[in-house]
Amino acid sequence: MTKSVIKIISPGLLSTIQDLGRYGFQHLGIPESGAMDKFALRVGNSLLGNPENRAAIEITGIGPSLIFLENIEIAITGANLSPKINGSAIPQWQNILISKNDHLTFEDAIDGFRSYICIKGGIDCPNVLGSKSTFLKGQFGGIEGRSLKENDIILANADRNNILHSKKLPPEYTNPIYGNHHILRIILGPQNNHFTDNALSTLVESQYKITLESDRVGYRLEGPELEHIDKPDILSDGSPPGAIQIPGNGQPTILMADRGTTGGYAKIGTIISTDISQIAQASPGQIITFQIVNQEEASALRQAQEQIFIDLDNNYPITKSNKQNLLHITDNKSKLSASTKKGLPLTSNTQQPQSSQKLFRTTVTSKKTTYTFDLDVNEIE
Amino acid sequence: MNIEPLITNAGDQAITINFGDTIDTQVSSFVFEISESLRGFQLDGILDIIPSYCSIMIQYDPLVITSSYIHTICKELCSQIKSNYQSKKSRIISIPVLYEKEYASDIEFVSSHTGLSTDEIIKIHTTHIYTIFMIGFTPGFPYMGISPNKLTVPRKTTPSKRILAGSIGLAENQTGIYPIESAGGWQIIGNTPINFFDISLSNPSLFNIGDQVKFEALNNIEEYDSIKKLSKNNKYKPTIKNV
Repeated sequence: MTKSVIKIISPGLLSTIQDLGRYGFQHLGIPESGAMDKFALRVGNSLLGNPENRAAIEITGIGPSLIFLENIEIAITGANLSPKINGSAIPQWQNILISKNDHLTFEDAIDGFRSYICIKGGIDCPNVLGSKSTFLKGQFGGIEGRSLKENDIILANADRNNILHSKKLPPEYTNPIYGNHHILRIILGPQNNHFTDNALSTLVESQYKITLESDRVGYRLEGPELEHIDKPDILSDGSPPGAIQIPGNGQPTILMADRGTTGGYAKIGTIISTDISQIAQASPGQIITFQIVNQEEASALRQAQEQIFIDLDNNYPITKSNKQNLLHITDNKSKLSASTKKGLPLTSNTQQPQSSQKLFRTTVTSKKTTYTFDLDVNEIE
Repeated sequence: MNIEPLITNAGDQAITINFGDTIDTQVSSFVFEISESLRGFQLDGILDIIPSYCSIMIQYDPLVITSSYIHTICKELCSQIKSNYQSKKSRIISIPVLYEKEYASDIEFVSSHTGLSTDEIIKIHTTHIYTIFMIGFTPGFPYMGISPNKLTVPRKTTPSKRILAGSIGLAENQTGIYPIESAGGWQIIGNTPINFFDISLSNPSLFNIGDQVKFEALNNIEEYDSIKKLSKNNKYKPTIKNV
C-alpha cells in the first residue's frame, strides 16, 4: 500500500531519490549509487523507526520547494540548508509532524551540501535490481531514472502509522558541523606503491581545493601534483568507495556513490567509511586535507560512529505514551526555539571494538565443492 | 598456475586481490573462477565482487564481516583452487555486426593506422575469437581481448561526445561494445543491432566474464534492421555454442 505524500513545486539544484545503494551487480558495470551521506540517511530512517535502507529525497546545495499532501512524520538530516515549514525555521535530526498542505522550503546553505528528507515508512518507487536509488547516468532507479522535477508526486509506503516506532536522539548528541575545511582520514592503497615517497608526503602535507567538476560520481581536487613512479595507468580494476585516484595530471579525484565500477588509474589511498559522510557534505571551493590511519583505527572510528544507532535503538523510543516529545509544527510553534544546539559532532564517546583472538574453523560450499578454513581473525596486520 | 596473489586493503570497505599486471586468458579465467566461488559462498557482509583483468575487488560491510576474515578466506581459496585448477568450459556467443561506413566512423582511421584495408579489418575482427575479461565503465560494457597485434590501435586523443548504442570499438588490443549511448574514446568500426543489456531483467547482461565472442558480419542494412526489430521485442536469440 502506498499513498501520495509530497508534490514537488520546484526541485532545487539536484534532488533525487536514494536508499542505501544497489549491491551485487558491480561486476556487470552497475554502480553502487545510493545516498552520498549514508550515515545521515540511516539516522533519518532510524529516527522515524524505518528500516535503515528506506528511500528518501537527497537534496543538494539549494533545496526544493514542496507541499505535503497529508499529515505525516518526517525527519531532515545531513546538511543545514535552512529548512522552513510555512516560512518558520524547523530543526533537523529529529522528527517533525507535518500537516496536510504544509509547505517545505529551503533557504541559505548554512553548513554542508546534501540533506535528506526522510519520511515515515520511506518513499516508494519501483525497485531496479533491488534498489530504489536513482542512477542519473544510467537513467534508472528513483522516478524514471531522473532527478525530481516540478509537479512530481512522491509516494510513501503506507506501513508508517502504527508499526514503526519513532525515536529520539539522547540529549548529549548535537547536530554535526561539517565546516569548510574537511579533514579526511584515509588508508593507503591499494596502489600506493605506484607513487613516489615525495607524492605520499605531499598528499598528507598539502591542502586540496574541491573543483566545480564534482558530482555524485566523484570530487575532482586541485592542488600540488602527486607523482607516479612510472605511469599513471594500471590495468583497470575495481573502484572502492572513497578511492583517491590519480590520473596523469597528478590531481586527485575522490570516487563517490555513482563512480564507474572499474577504473584504469592508480589509487593512492581510500577514504575510510566513517569519513565518506564528511566528504559527501563538502562543496566546490572548499578545502580538503588527508590524514593516514591504519585498519584498526578505521575500525575503531567506525564502531564509535555506530554508537548512535545503538543509542537510538535502546534508549529513546517515542511510544504512544510519550508522543508529546514529538515536535508538532503546526500546533506548537513555541517549541521551535529549542531547535539546533551547535558544538559537538553527532557521535558519543569512542568505544574501542572488542578484540577477539579466537581461532575458529569454518566450512563453506560453492558449486558443490566444500572448502574448510581455519580463521584467525587477528591474522592480518 | 604460477601466480601468487597479493591481497591488499582498499580502505575499510574493500580489499583487492591482485595477480600481476598482464592481460592473459589463463589468468583471467583463474580470476573468474575465484570470484565465482566466492560469490557462491554468499557470505553475509560481502556486498560486491568485481573481477577485472588480473585482480578482484571485494566490497564488504565492515559492520558485518572483517577484512581479516576475507583476507584469510581469499588466501585459502586461491591456494585451494590453484592446486587443482583447470581452465573451465566456456561458450561462444555470436554477435552480428554491421561494418558499413555509416556505423563505422573510425574504420578509415584504423585502416590508415594499421595499413590494413577495410575488408582485412573486418576479416580479422570476425575471425578472431575474443574473450570477455571484464564488464565495467557503463552498465554492461564488455572489455574483450586479445586483438592480434596488427589490429592494435590507440584510443582517440579527444573522446567523442556521443557514441551510438551498439557501437563496436577498438582500443589498444581490446574490443568492446557500447551498451548505451555515451561519450567514449574507442575507435568505432561497426554496430550491433542486438540488445545485450536490459536493466529490467533479473540478470540484465547477456554477457558474462569468461564468455567468448565471435563477431559475424551482416551483409546489409536490411539484415541489421530486421535483427534490431526482433531484438527490440526480445525475440532475437543470439547463437550460443558451448565449447
